[in-house]
Amino acid sequence: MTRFSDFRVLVVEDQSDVRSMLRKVLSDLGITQIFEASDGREALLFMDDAFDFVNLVICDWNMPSMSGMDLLRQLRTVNNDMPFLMITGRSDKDSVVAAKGAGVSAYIRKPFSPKQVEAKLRILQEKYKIE
Amino acid sequence: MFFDIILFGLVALGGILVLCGIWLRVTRLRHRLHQERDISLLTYAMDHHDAGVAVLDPHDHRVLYQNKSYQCFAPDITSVLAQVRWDERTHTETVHRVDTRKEDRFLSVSVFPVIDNTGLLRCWVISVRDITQTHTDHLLQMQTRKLEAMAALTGGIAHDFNNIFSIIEGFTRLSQVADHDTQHDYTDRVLNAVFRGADLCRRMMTFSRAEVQTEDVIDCGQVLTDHAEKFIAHTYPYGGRIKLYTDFDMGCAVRLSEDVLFQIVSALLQNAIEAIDDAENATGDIILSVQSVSSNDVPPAVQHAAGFDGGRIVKLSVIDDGAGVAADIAERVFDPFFSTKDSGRGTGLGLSLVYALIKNAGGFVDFVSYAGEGTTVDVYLPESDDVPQSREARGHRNNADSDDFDLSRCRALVVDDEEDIVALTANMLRSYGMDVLEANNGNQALVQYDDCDGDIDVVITDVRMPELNGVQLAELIRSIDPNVNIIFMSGYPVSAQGNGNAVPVTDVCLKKPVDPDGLKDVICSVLQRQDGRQAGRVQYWQ
Repeated sequence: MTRFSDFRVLVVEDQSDVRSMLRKVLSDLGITQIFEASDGREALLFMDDAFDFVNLVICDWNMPSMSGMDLLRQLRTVNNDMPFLMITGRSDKDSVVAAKGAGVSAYIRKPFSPKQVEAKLRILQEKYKIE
Repeated sequence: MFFDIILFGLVALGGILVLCGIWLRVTRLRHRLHQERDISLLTYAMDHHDAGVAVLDPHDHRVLYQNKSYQCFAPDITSVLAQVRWDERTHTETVHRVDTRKEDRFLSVSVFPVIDNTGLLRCWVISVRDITQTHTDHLLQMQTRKLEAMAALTGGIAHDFNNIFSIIEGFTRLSQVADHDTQHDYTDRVLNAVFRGADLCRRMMTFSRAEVQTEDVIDCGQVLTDHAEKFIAHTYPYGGRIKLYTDFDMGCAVRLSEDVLFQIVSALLQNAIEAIDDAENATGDIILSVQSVSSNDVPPAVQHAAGFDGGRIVKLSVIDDGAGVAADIAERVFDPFFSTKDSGRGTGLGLSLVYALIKNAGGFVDFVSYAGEGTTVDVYLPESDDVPQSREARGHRNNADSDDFDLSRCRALVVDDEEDIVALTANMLRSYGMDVLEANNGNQALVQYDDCDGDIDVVITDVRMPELNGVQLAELIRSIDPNVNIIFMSGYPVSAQGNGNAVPVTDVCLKKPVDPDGLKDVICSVLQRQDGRQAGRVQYWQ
């Protein structure tokens, strides 16, 4: 048992190398239940069945067909409390404000380090009492 | 006739030869009997010796001879022989622990190489002895000593803190009902008691994990000459029969901070003064001297124990002709809280502190005392090759001008697992006009930091916290914002943090309890440096 072993994470990211890097970072932190989706549509399909099961969504902002923001809005119609960690290359104030407004729980700026992921997971865990 | 003579001669010769033969045989027989008797005596002796002895083949370690005792060791000895060192030049002796079904046994095994005249190895002689009893006795003795020391230690701590707490409780209660003026006096007394407690804690921590590593090189003689008179007179207003004679050599450079030197001298002098108080026939003379001596002038036992390898040594001596102590007590004088004095007179920490400080400075303390005649304490420190720095050069490294800096626009995040310390620190900061966020653990701190999007000027965190310690917290916050200002607070000396608690040397670490003015100065200096950050990170502050 590690601190993060209760996380059940869905990673939504269109680039497979970033996906596998995230998987590596998360499993190094002791998370064993990691699911992957390569775009928003696949994520929604997965979440249809797994809404009660998954307790954290980590999602890229920029994806073709359905952006991270679109996915977030769709998810928020069903569950307002789902922890949602946005990964973004945008660091301008407007984007951050927009993301917060849409209900992002936390965001990570690219490029990111494993420590940064750990910091954000701790914050989400503390805020959402993921145990 | 002629033939008769010849015949007789031959017979006589034959007889003589036969007699010679018989004599030779008898002699040989007797010799063999002697040899056999010797061997049987040797075998008898060997078999009745409690040590197991065996002769082994020089090449494949096959047993050529073994005595009875050795056969008793036989079941365990194979595994032991696999561990011993086979050194053809010298004999080796090692102690091995053997698990038998019933109990652990300790075997002392000696291996002797037997070399003949031509320098060839003829055989190995193994000698095995069971030293379980001696070993156990020794361990038991050690354990008893340890327990005694522990009991003295906990008793001493409890006693001292109980006094302090009584003072705090008493005066706090009194001040609740006192008028304004008296209240001020009472709170002063409470503060003094707190300082005493903090000082005691600091001394105990110095003892438990003392690190006196310092960049300072001081000239012991010079420093003591400059300050001792004032310092000693101030600390011990001695009078009456106590006379202090000093003799300081100049140029005794040692790597030691001035504070530590004063601590050592003050502890030794206090002991000397009290020893004189206890002896009616003492003259009251105390000699305090500092000399630079060659390592050859140091007693060999001290040289060996301290591990000095040549070079010059600085010797600091305190000699009194007070009460002295007996040899059995002299053995224990370095135990923490061991005291020969009545309760309430001295903490019993003096000499143990001196011991810890000197040991960590790479030196040695020699304590010689005779009951009724007096005590000599010699402190030996390796002399430093570096040139002693002036007091100014060693002085404060950091002089931020806190008056120039306006803290009222700044926001701080205070993290400590002790809620009262968070409240206290936060209140101090608020009194400078700062906006303060509080957190009781690392994770809460991360949330606070995230909630305000990192809009925090300075994070002030404890080092030792459960789950996520201050250093780890700093790492995580810096992963989000590498430029964040972090100030650490710790009850332990900067260099004495345990594993994973080491504050990066480039960071600022404050000693607890934090003094309000010091805290303000440090925050100002850290924030001022923010502009010049590119020029290099913060130097340390102690």
